[in-house]
Amino acid sequence: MDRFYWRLNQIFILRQLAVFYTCLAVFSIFTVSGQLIAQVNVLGKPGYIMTPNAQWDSEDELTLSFSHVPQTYAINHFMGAYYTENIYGVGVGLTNFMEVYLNITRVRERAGEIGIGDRHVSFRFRLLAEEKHGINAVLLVSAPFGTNQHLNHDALVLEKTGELSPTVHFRLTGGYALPFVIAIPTRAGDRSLTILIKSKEEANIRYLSGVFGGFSLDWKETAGLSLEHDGHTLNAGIFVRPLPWMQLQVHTFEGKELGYNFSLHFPLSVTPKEMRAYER
Amino acid sequence: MRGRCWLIGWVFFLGLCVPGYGQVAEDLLKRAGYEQVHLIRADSGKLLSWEHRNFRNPFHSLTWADQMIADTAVTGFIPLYLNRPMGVYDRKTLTYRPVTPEEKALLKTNNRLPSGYRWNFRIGPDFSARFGDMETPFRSRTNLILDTRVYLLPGLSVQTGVLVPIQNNLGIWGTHWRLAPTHLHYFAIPKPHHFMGITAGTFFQDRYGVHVQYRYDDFDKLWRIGIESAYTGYYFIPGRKLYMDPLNDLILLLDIEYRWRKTDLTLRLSGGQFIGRDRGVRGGLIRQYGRVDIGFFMAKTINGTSGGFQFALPLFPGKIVRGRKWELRTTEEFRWEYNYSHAAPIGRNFRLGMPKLSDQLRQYNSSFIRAQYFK
Repeated sequence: MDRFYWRLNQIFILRQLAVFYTCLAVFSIFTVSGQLIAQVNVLGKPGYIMTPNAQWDSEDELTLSFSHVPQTYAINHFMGAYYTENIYGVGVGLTNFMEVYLNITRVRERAGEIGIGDRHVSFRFRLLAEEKHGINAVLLVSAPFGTNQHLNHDALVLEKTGELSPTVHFRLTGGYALPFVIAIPTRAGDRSLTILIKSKEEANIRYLSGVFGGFSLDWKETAGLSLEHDGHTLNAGIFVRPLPWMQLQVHTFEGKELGYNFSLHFPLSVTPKEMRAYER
Repeated sequence: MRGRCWLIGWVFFLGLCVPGYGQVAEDLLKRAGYEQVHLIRADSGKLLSWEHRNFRNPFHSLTWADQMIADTAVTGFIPLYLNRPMGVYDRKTLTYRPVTPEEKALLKTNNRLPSGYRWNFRIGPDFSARFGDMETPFRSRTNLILDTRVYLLPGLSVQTGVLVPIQNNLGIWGTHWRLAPTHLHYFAIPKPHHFMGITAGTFFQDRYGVHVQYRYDDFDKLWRIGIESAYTGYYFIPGRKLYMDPLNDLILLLDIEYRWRKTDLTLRLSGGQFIGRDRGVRGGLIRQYGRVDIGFFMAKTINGTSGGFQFALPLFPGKIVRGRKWELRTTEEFRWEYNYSHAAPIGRNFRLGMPKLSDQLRQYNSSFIRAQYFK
């Protein structure tokens, strides 16, 4: 039973996390634009469509993402079955070599049975930087705890970038993800520490195993194309940045089904509004 | 003769103008939200002290004051927090040093209570949510709080306000407006680097009681330690009555923090008894970005293992309306914590309705302030 007072339900419909995000964003940062947003994948990490790449952003920015994945290509199963899913993501850099990502998968069809959805925590580490070492390298590690591991992936990503012309830039990525998941089950009352290693194939986990790769072309940082192979399927998409800190992407899975992705970038170190007004 | 008269008159006029010029700068600061603004002439030079309640991060009030004060004779700034001087920050380099006894005495003679402060009204939401429930996966409660803090004596203040329920499907709390968390707070710096706060009254998470905190924090050092203790009970305001459980919950926590200077990342370990007689340890990382703080934690207690994240940020837009004697603004710190476990509390604490010392003192760290300056 819901109770709304003051007829403010028009504004405060907090059932959807998307609205929660929006409220927070509006409350806190609002008019300030962030830096250029990286192209992000289904989990809100720098990447193409499903696969990650090795792009590294400035650390004092927060990324919010929303992805819609059709049933056939869904990656977070519930009780063995896959449904059309919405994946929400938040990512932030803690240091200049480490980022933390949180995901929640909402399955609207089965919301009554599964609640808010599965949560997933993962980390991203920068190993090599192209400016210094000639190649970008990033290590992705999923937190081994939690009740399920459908989105877990532990991968190494290598990347080269370059330019075809002063306005057209390309990015070429290759990587390898472990074909198994590492899990430390945590249950109330259970204090034993066991480490489980489950084969992704046997556990019916689709997301990222084995060799994957991606390629993107970027025109003036406002629009671009991407193509990837995620180990199972070949996907392609187009993306636009109507504002430097906002990205919209539409993509196809094997040319059969459509998915989309929306993401925002927020600065975390802006000066207060009053001070900015004075400086102007 | 006539010319000499003019000259004397002119010198006299200039003499009037010089303090007048200082007054103009002070008025400019006051209009910008600075309170308790004083220019003191200590042996160490001309110092400017103030309290700015809208900015959680003192870097903002320090740099803004530097922009507004044209007088180059002012060599240092003393930001106050809860009517206590936090330290002297050099105007040019923003390096920190503790306040000397002489400066403290000068500030004390200049301190004006309560007239040095505005009547400050603060708007902030109180949002609680639970994600675990199967039937309604997202259960939440949203209240809006309008509160104020009045300074009674040096370091002693009272906070009170009104709580307006907006939406609730989390539990039975009623739809009536009621008293927001109301408490008396005493803040003291008995010796340099030693900070203590005592709070008594009602808090968030339906707690009432007493909360005591002590910290040793040298703003130039990497290590900090603190003790936090609270003796609380549950309270509830059904209509015009006040329902109170007896005081029965003891919290006693010892914490140690290490700051990784290069990235403003703090490692925090705390242990002891958390809310609900939950004994264990909690470790986490807190990153200060300047405006926003974000932290992640893991806790292992007798109730099990859990983890989560927290963030703290000032709400937009900050100042709403400001008069000479009063101000309406949004809260300088909206803090929220997500904890994975929702059945039994694991490694939990409660919010006071004002920032805790550990979170506040972290903002005054000299390397944090200097790092923003050189960004």
